[in-house]
Amino acid sequence: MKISIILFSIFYFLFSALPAQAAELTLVLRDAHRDASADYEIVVLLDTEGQEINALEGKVVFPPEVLSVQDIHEASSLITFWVEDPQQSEPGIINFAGIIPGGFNGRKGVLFSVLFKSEGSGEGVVEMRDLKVLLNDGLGTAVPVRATLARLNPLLDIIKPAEAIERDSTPPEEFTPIISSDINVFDGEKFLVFYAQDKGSGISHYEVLENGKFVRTTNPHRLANQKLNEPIVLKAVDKSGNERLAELPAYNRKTFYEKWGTSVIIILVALGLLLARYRIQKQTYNERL
Amino acid sequence: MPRNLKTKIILIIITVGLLPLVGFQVQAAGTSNITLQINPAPQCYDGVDNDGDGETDYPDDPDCSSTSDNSEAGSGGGGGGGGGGGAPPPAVVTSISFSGRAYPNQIVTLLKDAQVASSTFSGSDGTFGMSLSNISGGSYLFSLYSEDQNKVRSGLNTFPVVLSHGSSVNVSGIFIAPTIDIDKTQVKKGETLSIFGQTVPNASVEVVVNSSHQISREVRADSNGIYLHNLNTSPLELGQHSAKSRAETQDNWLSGFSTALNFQVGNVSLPSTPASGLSARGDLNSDNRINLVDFSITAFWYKRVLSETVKVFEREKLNNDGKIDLIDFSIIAYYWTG
Repeated sequence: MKISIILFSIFYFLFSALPAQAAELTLVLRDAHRDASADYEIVVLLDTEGQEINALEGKVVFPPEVLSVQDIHEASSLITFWVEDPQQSEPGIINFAGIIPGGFNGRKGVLFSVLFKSEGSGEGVVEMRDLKVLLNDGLGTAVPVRATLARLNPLLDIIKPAEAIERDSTPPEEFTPIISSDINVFDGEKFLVFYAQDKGSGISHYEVLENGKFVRTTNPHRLANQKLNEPIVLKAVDKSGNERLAELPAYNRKTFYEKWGTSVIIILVALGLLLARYRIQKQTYNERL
Repeated sequence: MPRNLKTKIILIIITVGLLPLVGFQVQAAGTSNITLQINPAPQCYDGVDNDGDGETDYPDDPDCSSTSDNSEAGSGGGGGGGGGGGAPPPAVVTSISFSGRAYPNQIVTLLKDAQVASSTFSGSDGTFGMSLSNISGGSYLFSLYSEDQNKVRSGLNTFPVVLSHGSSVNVSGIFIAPTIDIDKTQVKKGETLSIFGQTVPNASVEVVVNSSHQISREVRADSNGIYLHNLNTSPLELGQHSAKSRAETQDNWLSGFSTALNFQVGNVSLPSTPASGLSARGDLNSDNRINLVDFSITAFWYKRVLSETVKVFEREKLNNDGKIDLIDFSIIAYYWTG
């Protein structure tokens, strides 16, 4: 099977004049040596060219008939919070958007990498589109963006997301969910916000314990128990299946009825039945007399 | 430096650029010396076959006596042996510490990946130090900020760091930029505008006003680090201007510039709201913090049609374009407190 991948180089100019300083996003192609199920790995790098950047978004576009996504690694990303996790939102398009509180100024910031498998012979063009990079200036000022390519760039030697990914046995880092409420979210009902980090394989998903079982959720999560009278248990699961639990104690105590409600009803019904039986027996006994 | 070793030690990048790894002291333009003292993981715990014998680290490499052993090549003579059993090897700890100068007797906060990891009080001379241990190897974004006695926050000093497992890093020489505030948002031309803030005690403070021509004035902070400059606005043109400041200590520590504050020169003076008014940007739930909650509220409305109440906070606390998009997240990231 023969396949050739072309990393398409497009120059984006958000301003009419040639930009003196433009942030640069680079697609770097290299062999997917750390994942036997994939044939290629494309790493997305950011060079801020001396500017302090705190937000960016864009798309990686590829031909889905030629390439399929095996995995996307963002565990080593310089992005602190993803607004849109890099994932294939529709065939052939990986959307991404994220922020870096405090900003980043550097030459070889790794955003994420995509592991591709070839689906057939042909020529695949991989390119970036709709790029937006914003300054850390409190205003969200856009800077010109240049998209470039590189092949087996020696710069990547220092990145090494690591063979450790394959033997990641470390759970996600400890994290603390926060209970909040705001009139503008979930109609003012209480919700949970959370964000865990995993430096090995990256976070896969979150699960929250509700009604006795864990269910998948995303941030922010509307709490089913608005009374907050039970502990909140949240689980972060990484892509290797390691788990980290975070538990918040019950904020309010349950009332006696809430705590013993079912038991109290059963006992009262039983007592009622016994009492009724006693009265019937007593009445029968009196009638016989 | 062997390449494989280079991959295992620390890459640390300050906000002014990539630090070279040759030598661990860097003079960044406009800042003090930030010194990095890096202790890589012991050879028997660094994931590298340092002696080329085909075995890596303790316990696979027979020349390693424990994870803290710093030689995979063995000790040469001696041959070790004997004993057996014994106590388990000492735990190898990954750690990082930060030290520098901020504002005297104030809280300095350390963020790890944008979430509060530690905080400490600075001394009466403004010095501070704090450390984190038992953290996983990996890439991190550490940030430091402080608040002055009027609760005005500094900007974030950000340090992207790649920590290898078992290494320890000491980042010293951090000099948090002065805070800055003004007494009027609009000043009548010819009247005085007070520009003030806090830095380390007795530092020399350069106040810079960006106008059609830049004005630079030097004042000295008092023993509490408070500085004040009364700016004569007569030479300034009508319109918008901005002011910022930086400090230099008597032993030649030079900070970066503070946040730039905008003000208008007009026909009438308008007093400034408290500086908290500035930090209210991005604080969607009005808890005086800009953190994961604000991020999550914004994320909830990302690319959605805004309700009337959300339009209000989008107008007052974000960028007032009637929608939630990347620019709003950028504003939150700028004012982030953790």
